[in-house]
Amino acid sequence: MTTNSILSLKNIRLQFGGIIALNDVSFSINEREIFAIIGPNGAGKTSILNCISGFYSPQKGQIIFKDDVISKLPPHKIAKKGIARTFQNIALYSGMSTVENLMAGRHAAMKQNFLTGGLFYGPGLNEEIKHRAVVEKIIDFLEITALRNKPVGTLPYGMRKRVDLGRALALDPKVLLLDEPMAGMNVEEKEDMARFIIDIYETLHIPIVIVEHDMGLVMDISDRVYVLEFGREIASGPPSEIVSNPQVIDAYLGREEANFATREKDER
Amino acid sequence: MGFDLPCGCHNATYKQDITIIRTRARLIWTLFGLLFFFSLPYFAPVVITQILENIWVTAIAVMGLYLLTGLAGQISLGQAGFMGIGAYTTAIFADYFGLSFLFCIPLSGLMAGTMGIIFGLSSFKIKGFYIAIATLASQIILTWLFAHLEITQGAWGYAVSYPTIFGHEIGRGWPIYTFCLVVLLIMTYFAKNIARTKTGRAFVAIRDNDLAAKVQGINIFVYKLIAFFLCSFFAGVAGSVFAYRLGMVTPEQFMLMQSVWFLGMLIVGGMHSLAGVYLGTAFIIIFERMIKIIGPTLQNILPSAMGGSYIAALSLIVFAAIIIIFLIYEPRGLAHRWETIKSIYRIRPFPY
Repeated sequence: MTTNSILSLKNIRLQFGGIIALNDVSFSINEREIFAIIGPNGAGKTSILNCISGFYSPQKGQIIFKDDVISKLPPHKIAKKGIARTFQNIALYSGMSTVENLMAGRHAAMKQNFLTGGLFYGPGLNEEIKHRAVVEKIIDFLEITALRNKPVGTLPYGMRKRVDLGRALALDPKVLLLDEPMAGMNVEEKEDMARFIIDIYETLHIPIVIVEHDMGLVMDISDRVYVLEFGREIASGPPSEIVSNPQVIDAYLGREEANFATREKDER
Repeated sequence: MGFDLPCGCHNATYKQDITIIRTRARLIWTLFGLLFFFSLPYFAPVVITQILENIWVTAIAVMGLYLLTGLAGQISLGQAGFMGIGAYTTAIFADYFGLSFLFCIPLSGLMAGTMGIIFGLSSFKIKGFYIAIATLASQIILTWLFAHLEITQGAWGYAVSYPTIFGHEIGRGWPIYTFCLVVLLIMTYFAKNIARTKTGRAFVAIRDNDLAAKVQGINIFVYKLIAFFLCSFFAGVAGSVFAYRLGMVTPEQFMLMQSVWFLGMLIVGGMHSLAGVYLGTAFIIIFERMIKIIGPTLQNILPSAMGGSYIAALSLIVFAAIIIIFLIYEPRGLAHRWETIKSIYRIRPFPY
């Protein structure tokens, strides 16, 4: 594994009034890995993503993306640097069709303004066609060709999640942050989504940060796992180490059950 | 995007897919429609052309509101005020400085647009109903200024002469009718293309989900200001044409009630489509006219205790009723109804 880190968090501390949401969180993501963040409800997983994409500004610590400190930048500037994300509860533009949602995702890459766009001739038109081609590639990649002109408000849940992923890809991301991409899905949809995540990682070479509750899945697809409890790191490492880490088992199952689990394991 | 193509017609390139007039039938219908409306003043009675002129001018202002309210989701109650800025700009520059309309119309738009940006600055911190109140304030400030500033000549207002082109006056009758229609078509072209390119998508993104818009790299504040600018720009152009057409500019033409009417037209027509702008504007203006015609008749029929002074308020009462009915039964407006009718026709006789 290369040690070229693309995104790193250093001693992040995030506070809401008296509540410490994140305390001394540090990790760095390499250019070639799927990095999973797990933890019980309210551990601060989504807060980490919100800090990275600029919704929250941490009181202490730095977020560094490719040698630039991004922790004080507004969200749209961070997005333009190439950090894309999806949302836990889908945040699509429900009034637009799938194609338009993805085209809206190309916003950062488009150079024209409302004057050339309004003329719709020459550069304005050429840009539309050029980016449309890019968007169609993403649509093919995610196998949502049939939904191209459907308003996303009418799509089923699993498909909307997929369009959300597509819109994040439309940003040409250097890092992709996925906030519970498989929440509320059935097994089949989960498998599809896992396949897409692995495809994105392997064919487009985009490092992925994934926050997810489905342990089995996380352990299967991720290269490194970071475990969070009450805003603090309790473990990090490859999945094989994490599953046998007693602290992680405590956090997830509680002490009684943990003993029970280990006992069961011993018996086997 | 998204309309169904007839059988045997396939899009082979992305350019074809984003073309609006895609089939020959559509082209013929469009040309036929244009020909009809351009030739109308030659055979239709003057009353009809006057109503249509009024619709063309008003539609430009409502189109601006469509960009701001329909696409970007910011409610504006100040559209008439910005229209007034356009009208006064034209009055002053055309009569005092004798400038051509080719210069006056864009200038009016820019003046109104600049004011729009100034009043839109508040959208940085506030949204929703609060922004509506802020624009309401702008409307009241502007009407007050029109009535009290020296440069606007108070209640007297200005007289504006008809525009001239190459020494010829674009006067009463078909010339001014054509003038209004041409400006409307140019503005429609711009509005439609703005709506379906980068800027329009950014507007809808802000309306539908501003958090997601942020992480997609859209600078929300800048795009809200662009929306306010465009909205007021359209209002300014509308005001300019309005001044040329009517030949006079006075403060009471740009009162708050007019702004409310504009918003009402947008609601009745359907906020999310350009067709709605046309349909809503036409619907309300024709309706208002009809009430003016049947009003006196009603006055004679009704007993004096009921009729009389109440007739004056009739158009307002009916207007209010129309808005409520539309909000309840057809919140997506006439444009949606029109789409439904079109698709029923298209898939006939297999409605499933």
